[in-house]
Amino acid sequence: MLALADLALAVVGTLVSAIAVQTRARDLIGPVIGLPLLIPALIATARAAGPLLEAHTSGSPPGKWVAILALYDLVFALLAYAVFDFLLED
Amino acid sequence: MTTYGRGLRGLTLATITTNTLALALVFFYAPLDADQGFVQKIFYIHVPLAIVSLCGFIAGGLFAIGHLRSGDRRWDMRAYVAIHMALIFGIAALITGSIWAKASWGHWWVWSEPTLVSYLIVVLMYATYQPLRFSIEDPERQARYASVFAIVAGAFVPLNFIAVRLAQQYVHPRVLTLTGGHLPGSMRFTFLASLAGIALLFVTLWKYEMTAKDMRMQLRRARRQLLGDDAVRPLGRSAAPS
Repeated sequence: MLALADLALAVVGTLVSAIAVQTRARDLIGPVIGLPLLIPALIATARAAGPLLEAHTSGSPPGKWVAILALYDLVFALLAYAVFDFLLED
Repeated sequence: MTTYGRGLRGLTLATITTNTLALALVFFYAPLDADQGFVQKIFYIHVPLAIVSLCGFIAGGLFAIGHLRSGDRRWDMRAYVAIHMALIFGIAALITGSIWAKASWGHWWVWSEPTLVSYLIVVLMYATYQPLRFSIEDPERQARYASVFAIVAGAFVPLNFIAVRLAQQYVHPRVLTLTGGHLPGSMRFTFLASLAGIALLFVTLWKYEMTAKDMRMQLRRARRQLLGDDAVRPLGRSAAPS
């Protein structure tokens, strides 16, 4: 699950910085676009990790939030793969 | 050369009639809600605005796919106008939603409510679309990067929506479900009428803006041909595609 969260951060972070690096206000544009895009991933990770940290727990992360995280990763990885050529072509 | 002006008059008339009819239905036909009374009628405006603006964002993403596939700058213009219109509709939905929340929950804004916050996130994310365009100088690169952003954000909209639907805490009323919900027939009909009205309004405004931008470009081209290149001042740096 944490690997999925890492993947989400890596994929979205790379995509957003590839967009932002060519702009004039690059230090501002990057986080401003990246933060809203990452919020669902962060929420899903927090919700999925929450039960693991409780004292009396069954020990397995709730499947629903892990599924959301996996779906998020899948969609954004495919998208980033599809659009990345357009960002680098010069 | 495309002419966006074609059919504009008929579309405008259809929009005006549908919206007038929908408003008449809202005020004179739909029954008063049992426990909320008159305030509930703002839903006939608020929910269609929210739905149409989300669809407009997605449409912007689809137009942007067209731009990246074909390299035709007109697709970029379509995506730009769609996102710009959807942003205006989205802000209107936020305002009407706040008015209802104040009347019904007693607060203008409730941070613990996933639907509100996720919608705000989507609107704020699209609010960065124009600063992003503005901060890229080369017009060709501007169009390409804006399209990439529109596609990514367009995919984000339904994902965000699914995540919110799965979250448990419902305070925000959900009357519109796939199974038909529990709306009485007359309310349902009124709601669908106002949804059609707002959707038509979106399409009409989109067409108007496309026509205006298209005409301005044709005018500049004609002046340049007639008077020579020096007579037409170059456009300043702008967020809008040219």
